[in-house]
Amino acid sequence: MTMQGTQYSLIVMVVVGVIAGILGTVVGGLSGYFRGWTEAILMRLTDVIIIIPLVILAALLGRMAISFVRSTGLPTVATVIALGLLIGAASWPPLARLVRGEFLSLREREFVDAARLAGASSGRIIFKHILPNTVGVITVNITLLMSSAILLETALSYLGLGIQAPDWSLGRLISENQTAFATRPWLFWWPGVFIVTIALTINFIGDGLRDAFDPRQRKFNPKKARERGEHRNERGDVDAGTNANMRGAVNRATR
Amino acid sequence: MSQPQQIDVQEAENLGPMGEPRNDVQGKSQGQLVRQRFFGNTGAVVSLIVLLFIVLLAITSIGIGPSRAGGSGILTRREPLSMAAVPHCHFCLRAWAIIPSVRTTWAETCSP
Repeated sequence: MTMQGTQYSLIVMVVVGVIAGILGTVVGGLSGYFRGWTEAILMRLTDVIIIIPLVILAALLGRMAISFVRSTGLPTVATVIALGLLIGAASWPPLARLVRGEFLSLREREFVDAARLAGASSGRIIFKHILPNTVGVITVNITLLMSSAILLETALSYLGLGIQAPDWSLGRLISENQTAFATRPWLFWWPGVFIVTIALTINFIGDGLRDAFDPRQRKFNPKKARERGEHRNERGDVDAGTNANMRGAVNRATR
Repeated sequence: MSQPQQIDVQEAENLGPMGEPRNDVQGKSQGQLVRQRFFGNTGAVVSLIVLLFIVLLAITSIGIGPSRAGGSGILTRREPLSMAAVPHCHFCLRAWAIIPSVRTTWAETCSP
């Protein structure tokens, strides 16, 4: 049951990541690049969705999706995918705002002006010049969305608004087994362990991707930097002076 | 009046600052740099391996649980434990012989 619940929770997580990633990128990109009426309409839509509490919206949409899929007689996986689709359709606004900010900043850069002067079309500028520079932000935020999606799906299933009997998800396992916590606690532990592990690993992967896409945001460890002989200048950038490097090399050699 | 010369945008983007072709410059692509930095991060790599292991386990469910993940239809599903339902496992011969009265989990009834 735990494995089946894990599988369904993972399916929801992946579907939410894909749907929220696509919607957030398209809405944010269009509103950031074209501005004007496009931006006004899309951003007001985003504002309307973002002010509704996500749990309530996802619960409502999830119930609708499950009822619809069950009425059509499709298999269980279709219910899970529909739940993921609708949670994804409710959780794209934060990504759209971030992507819009990136597009607004990048569209004023010199290389975009140069491409525009060279006669490149809007589509070419977006896909060849701006979008590759926003891949880092998009990827990192999709991982965070996926991590929050698995927690949201667990919360919905725990409340009885997500995946329904006779199918299992991690949240439903915890909900059903909470009465057995005192007598058979292992029924409670394993779903919890899987939820925590999946959320933690995705967050760590997101951190790794953020460091990989933008090394300037890497956490500064003063102790390790001192050992390496680096120091920060007034702007906060890491400098590696010659004398300091020598000291670092000597420290490493004498250790 | 001479016609203005059409500029091939793709070709113009591949030229250097002095108009020289840039195809001869060899270096690492952005993707290669990102991949190298990501795989240099121990925490992220360990997390990736753990997540892949969980995904593999969830897909295959090797030796764990009475039902194959994904619901193959071979095994019957259980009612909630709070209703004190009896688990049933078609694969497990012991489940046919034992009538569980107190035992309620698959691990207690079917596992060797």
